Amino acid sequence: MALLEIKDLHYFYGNVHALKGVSLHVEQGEIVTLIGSNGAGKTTLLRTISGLNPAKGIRGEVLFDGKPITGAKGHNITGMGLAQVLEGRHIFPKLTVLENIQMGAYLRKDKAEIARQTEELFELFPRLKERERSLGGTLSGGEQEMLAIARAMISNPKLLLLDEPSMGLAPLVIHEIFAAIRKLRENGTTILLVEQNSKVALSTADRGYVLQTGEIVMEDTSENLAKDPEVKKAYLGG
Amino acid sequence: MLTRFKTYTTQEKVTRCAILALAVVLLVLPLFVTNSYRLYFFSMIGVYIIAASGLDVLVGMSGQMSFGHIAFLAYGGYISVLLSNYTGIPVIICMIIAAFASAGIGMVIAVPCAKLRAQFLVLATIAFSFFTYQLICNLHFLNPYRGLYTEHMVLFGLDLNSDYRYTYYFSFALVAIVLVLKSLLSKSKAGRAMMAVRDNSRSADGMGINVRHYKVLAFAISAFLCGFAGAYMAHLTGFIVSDSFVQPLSFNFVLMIIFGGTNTVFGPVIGAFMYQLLNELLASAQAWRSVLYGVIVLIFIAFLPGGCVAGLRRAGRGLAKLIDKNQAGKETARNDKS
Repeated sequence: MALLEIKDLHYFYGNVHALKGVSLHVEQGEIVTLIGSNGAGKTTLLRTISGLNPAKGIRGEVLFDGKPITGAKGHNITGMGLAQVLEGRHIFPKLTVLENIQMGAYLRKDKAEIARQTEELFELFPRLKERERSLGGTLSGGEQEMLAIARAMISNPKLLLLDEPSMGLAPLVIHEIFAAIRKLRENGTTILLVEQNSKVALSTADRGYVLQTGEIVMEDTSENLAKDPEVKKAYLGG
Repeated sequence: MLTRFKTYTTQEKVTRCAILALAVVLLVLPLFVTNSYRLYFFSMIGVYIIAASGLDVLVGMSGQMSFGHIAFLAYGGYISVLLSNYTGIPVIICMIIAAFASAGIGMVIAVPCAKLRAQFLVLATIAFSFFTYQLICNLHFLNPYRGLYTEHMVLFGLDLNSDYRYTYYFSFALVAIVLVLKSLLSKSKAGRAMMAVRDNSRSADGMGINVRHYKVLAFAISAFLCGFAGAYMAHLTGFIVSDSFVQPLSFNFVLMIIFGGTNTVFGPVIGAFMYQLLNELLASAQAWRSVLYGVIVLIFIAFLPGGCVAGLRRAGRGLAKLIDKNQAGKETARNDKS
């Protein structure tokens, strides 16, 4: 059974038909990427899964761990083991790095285990450890992305949704963040990754979907997608 | 790293000393100030501190603005007065019941208000306070224009209204309780959740925080404190009249937290003191009073957006550094000798 299964999902922003019957599945332990150009509906899809979009626009079904979560409220979905890193990070600017991470553990009660996992995340992102006591708003873009990922991971998710982790970052920092993403998978987290930077996304993921104006137009292993002439032309720059 | 840690503790010591000194000064004040109007004036500051702290839970902690909080003082005041006048329940208990009733009203208002943002929320709260004032004016059994006399507060057989020294200490105790509870709230799970909602409600939702739930809770807590302040005010003055609850008075509480500093424990304390002292000092300026007020508010917004607390913190940090330097100097001198 797939960890996440989406069947014929439609989303409407008023009259705008943003998702037109998307079906996809993410298996346990996979990294699956969703690539596509601006306005293809990538972010809409993630926000619909995680319950951040108003439920009245949803048609279709989302199954998480076998249970339907279609239209559930965002704060309830978090408790089921699904965490999302929003596009543009959305960290708490007036809380320190450590407090930001602690906010991510809002639904957990096991303090000792939270402290241990916080240390593990600091090993994964040593830069955050250095800036433990700084305010979130003073971090650089890359550090904020790391913090957003750490904050999502501390809730112990079965599935991590990542929206544009490379946005506005320097190539070297992107490299560092994707190395961390691979490491998270090795530790057993399943990841659904939405990216504009198709090259780095396909080199990290196992499988990929190509989304175009609200529809899935292609589905294959990342290797095959990276070789595909059309994908190359449209998303990988020839 | 080590030196930074050390500065931090010295700074904490400086803060503790300052708070302790303030408390001691306030505790012995009635020994020197015997004028009963002055004591009443200080007791009244307690009312303002409690109300401003209540507003600060809403504005500073949860990030929602209200220009209509005077309405909750009205509900607290009238409910407590009616209860004590007609049922004979001890006044102190009436005040607590009134605070809970006010919190209930706050929750009812919050359910629609929690959906509103910025200017719409402000307009809704203003409308709420106009509605409340008109409601009072139309309820004839409240004798809205001439007012109602209120019962005396009796605590363990002691009539607090018989001497303003008693109300002074009662205010002091109430404020101390409110401040302790508020600082506990800001460190609690609920307090942190409210601040997360304030800073980024979307991320807070993603952390599993029920955003609406905490917006409503903030309203309820803030209405509780304001309702209690209203009840206390009514029994302290011995009189309740509709004119004490006109909407523009809501701005006073907003001014207090701006003067003092939002989302701080002592901001409303300093703000309420400053506000009342300014009122007294500017009383002789009459028509010029509003003008001077405007200028002072602008100065605050321009130079001390964090309020007096931010300024005092800066001063405290400077003092702590000075102390540290002094100590370090002595230490090296001692080492040199040996």
